[in-house]
Amino acid sequence: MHRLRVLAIALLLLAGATAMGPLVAQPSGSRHALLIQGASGEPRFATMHRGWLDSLAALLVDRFGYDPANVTIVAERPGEGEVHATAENVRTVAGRLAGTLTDADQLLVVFIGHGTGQGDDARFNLVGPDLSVADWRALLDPIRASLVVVDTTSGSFPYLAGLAAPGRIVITATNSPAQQYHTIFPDALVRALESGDTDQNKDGRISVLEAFTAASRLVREHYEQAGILATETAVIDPTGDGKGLLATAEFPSNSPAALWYLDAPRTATTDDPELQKLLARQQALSERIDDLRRRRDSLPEAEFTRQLEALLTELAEVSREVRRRSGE
Amino acid sequence: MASAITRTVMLPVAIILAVASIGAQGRPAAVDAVLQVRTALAHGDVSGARLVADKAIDEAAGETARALIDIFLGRDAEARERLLPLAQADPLGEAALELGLLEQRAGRTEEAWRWLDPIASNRRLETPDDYFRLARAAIAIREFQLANDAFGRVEEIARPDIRTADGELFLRYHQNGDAARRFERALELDPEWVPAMLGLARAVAAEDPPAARDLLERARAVAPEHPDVNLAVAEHALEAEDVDAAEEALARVAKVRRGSLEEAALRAAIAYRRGGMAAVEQAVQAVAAINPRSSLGWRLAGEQAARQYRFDDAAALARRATEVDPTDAKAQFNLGLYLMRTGDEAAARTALDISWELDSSSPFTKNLLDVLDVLDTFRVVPHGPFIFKFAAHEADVLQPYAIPLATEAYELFARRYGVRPDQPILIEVFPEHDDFAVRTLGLPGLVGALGACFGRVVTMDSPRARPPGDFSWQATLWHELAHVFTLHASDFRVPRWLTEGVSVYEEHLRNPAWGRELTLQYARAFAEGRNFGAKNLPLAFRRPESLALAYFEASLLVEHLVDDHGEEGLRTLLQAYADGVDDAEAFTRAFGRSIDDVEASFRAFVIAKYGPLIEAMKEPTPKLEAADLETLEARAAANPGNFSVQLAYGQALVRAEQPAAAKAPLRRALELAPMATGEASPRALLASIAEMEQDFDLARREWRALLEYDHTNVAGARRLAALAEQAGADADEEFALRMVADLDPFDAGVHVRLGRRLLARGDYEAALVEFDAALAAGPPNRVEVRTSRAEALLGLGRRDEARRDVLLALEEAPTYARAQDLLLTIMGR
Repeated sequence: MHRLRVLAIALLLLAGATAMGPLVAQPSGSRHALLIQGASGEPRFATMHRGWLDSLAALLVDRFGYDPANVTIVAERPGEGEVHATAENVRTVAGRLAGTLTDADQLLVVFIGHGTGQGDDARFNLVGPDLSVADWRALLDPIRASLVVVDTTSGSFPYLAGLAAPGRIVITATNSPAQQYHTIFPDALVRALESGDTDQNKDGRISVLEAFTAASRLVREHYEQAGILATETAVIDPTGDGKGLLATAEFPSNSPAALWYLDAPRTATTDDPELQKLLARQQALSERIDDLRRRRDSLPEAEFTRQLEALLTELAEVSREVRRRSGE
Repeated sequence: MASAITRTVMLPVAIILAVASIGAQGRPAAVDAVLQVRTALAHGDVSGARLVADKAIDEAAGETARALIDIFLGRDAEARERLLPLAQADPLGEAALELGLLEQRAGRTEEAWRWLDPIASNRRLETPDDYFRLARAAIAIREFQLANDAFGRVEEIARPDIRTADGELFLRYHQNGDAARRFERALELDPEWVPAMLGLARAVAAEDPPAARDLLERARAVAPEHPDVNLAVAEHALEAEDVDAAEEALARVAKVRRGSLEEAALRAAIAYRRGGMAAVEQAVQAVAAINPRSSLGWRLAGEQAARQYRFDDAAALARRATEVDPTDAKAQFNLGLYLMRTGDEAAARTALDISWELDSSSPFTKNLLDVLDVLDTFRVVPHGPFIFKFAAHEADVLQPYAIPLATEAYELFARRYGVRPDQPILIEVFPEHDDFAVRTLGLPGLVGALGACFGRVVTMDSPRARPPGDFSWQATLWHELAHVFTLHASDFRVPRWLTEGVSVYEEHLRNPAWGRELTLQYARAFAEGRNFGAKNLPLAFRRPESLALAYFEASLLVEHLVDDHGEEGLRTLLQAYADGVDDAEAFTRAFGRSIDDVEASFRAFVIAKYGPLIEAMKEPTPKLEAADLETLEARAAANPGNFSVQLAYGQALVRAEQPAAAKAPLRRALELAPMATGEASPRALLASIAEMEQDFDLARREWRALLEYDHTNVAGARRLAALAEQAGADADEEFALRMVADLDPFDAGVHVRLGRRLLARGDYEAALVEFDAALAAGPPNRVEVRTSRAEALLGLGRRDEARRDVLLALEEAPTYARAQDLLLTIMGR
């Protein structure tokens, strides 16, 4: 019965997304992740970075249901089934992904470690020779999957424009080449993915935008509560134009980052015809609410409120009935 | 005597030679005599000056020199008689300049202009003295840039009189550093040039008061009867509220220079101190008799009123000053400053704008105008007897906390002190510390201050003005509001030691941890005899270096007085000050005993309260220094009752990664001083050790006990909250969350957690406050908080508001099941 609740909610959101005409639809293929921990330099960073890497991998598998076989780990000190973080190995892994992933798949790439940058170029520190931004671009471009790149390192800002491409979402922990201090963004990202608060719209799923917003918030709080000047400010390029937006920016509800979910896409199915009717009604109401919200500026405020209240009330009643019939 | 004369005569000769060499110009004998007399007078040597004047070969020079002596002695009529024929004979000469300046000091502006303008307009300039005369005339007719140019032409001339006058011009332009360099140069040229000492003292007074005091003492040593020295002594005495000493210094001024404007003006300031506004009216007549166009008497009286926190009077007096002389930029500034302190910011801006028009070099004026601009962006929140001003982006967060606290303070203090201010209290909360500093003193800085009270205006740092955990803004607000009532109850005559003592005492009553941060330092000071006692507290408040302990000891004295005589005794004491009596009489009225009696009983009170702590805080013998573990262990064994020794040994063991061994000495230190706070305190270290040993229950207990004293330790509170949450220790968690929310109200997550707890136990009103604060601070999940807020509103029976909130939540999250259910509940479906 629990499964049905999840299905119903997911259905509504997919419907809403379709109605709003997303630029990037949630791919229907398989979900993959490439987590890369570079050279740490010092034991304390080695422990810290490895901890973030492990937490992230565990979250992807345990919370978001990634197939462990689809989570590739490139590490400074690789464990069993992991890849050593050299440039050569990275090229090999990227080549494999380019060869196997399709347009229907999605790939999350996360850099953890140190970055150093000069002007428009930045180096993510690997074991041995590093790769430049242009090198990384050359490795990622052939991958056809829907791609999200998160560079959590210091000096990550040049990756924002350097990796920008249509349909690709890029997040960097810093918004200026001058920000070269070790970042706490990866820790914040892990904590954001663990927190129930991150699901801003309470739809039961975490989008990349929600994760980015929550992590940015945790970074800001870290510096505010310590009473020190923030040395990092994360930005996101949700559209592939190479321009970074802060978490405080206004994002449209159909922003690609709002529609790229870490959770698995779900399909609502039921063999209970009454329930199926209710689910269809939920979907229809949800679409009408989305439509009404889009037309908000063209309506008098009182009229908008009246219509919204009526729709939300009806949706609440239908949803309650869905939950009742689902046995919750 | 002979050597003194020789010195005064010889030095100018050397200077003249230097001028001749540098300027490649001859120096007329007439100028020599005048310069020699000026030098003698600058040393306060009137006899020497007379000798030089009488020996002058040039008759005109001798007469001019004698006129300078007359002016020095305040014999203006005689001086005018001597100068007039000389000025008529040489309208561009020294006598003409001195006559013009004399007329100006007498308020005969047109007459002064007649002499000064030609000198300022003269461009046939050959000698340094020509430029010097031009500069002085230009200053007198407010052509400051011209004066500056003239000084620039003779900046290499090694003469202390020129360098000093140049310095005074920079002082006028508020460029104290540049001024100081010029005065210092003058003193290099003549170490006994008294006007340079006085100028330098003024230049450094704000930044280095002890240096200013030393310079004044030097000047007194060189020329104890110099009228300008004694005027400066009188000013300093008034600043230190020592009116008797000020009068004594003025009497010395009068002995040498009778009837001077400055003396009369300072007497007007003293008149305010002695007899209030009516006495000033009388006293300024003496100023007007000397110079009817001088605003100085009103201005100084106003400054005296301001020093006594009587800002309505201060503003009225400054306004009189501006009426007498609308071009007095300082008076206009003072008027603006005082009006700001009465809360009339609109009128203050008008005065400050005028002041800025008159003197656009004043950083004080610019700063105040800038801060008024900042205040224009603040949100104004009138509430009951208060008008709050919050930064727009902070208002929604601070309001729910600040208003109830201020209201509680108002009602409590109004009852306790039997007075209700008759006008609204303005409370301004600044997110930028420098804005607070400027609003308070006119300059950024003021690093040690958190809040200030001007009677019915309170200014303070917001919690965001400093890193979280630096201070408790609530304690600050409470402290400043206590001042409002002690000032009003005493008709603004409460001595500083008492109003500060009451405010710190009131903090402690509100929260036992507030106002007791310096307990250990005080115990140590007491053990070493560095405390002040009841009699010396007023003096301790005049010395910045002793202020912190003075606050603490004053609060203990108040506690002692209230213990012995109740709140009624305190009220009577404040009323006695309101009646204008002195300390001795006030104590007799309030407590029926002398200050000496109180001194003895206060000492006994402190010993009874802190005796064992004082013993534990004694400096160990030999003095504790960095040592190896073995030595520290031996010291600890030999000094089981000494806090420092036990703590040092415990800390050393922690550093040596022997936490288990550290526990015993730390626990012993804790027993000796349980109120020790900070991250290196026994309790904090024991808490950390417990966590290290994974004894989380013990760690939680240690943190909780530490935080009972360490009331600004927001990091510790966050740690306790985390440990308590893990352990399900509700009471500890709520204590910790409350502490974090109080110290760092911008932590939205804490408000959410607190709100949920309050909601769960049905305390809807309190929950609503937390959810409001969370929404204002930007919660981790707005939809959840909106829904929780709607629940609280529903619990309070505010159904329509609840429906509005839950719809707002659903608008953002239409599928949020909890909000959907709540909506249906609200709608009765």
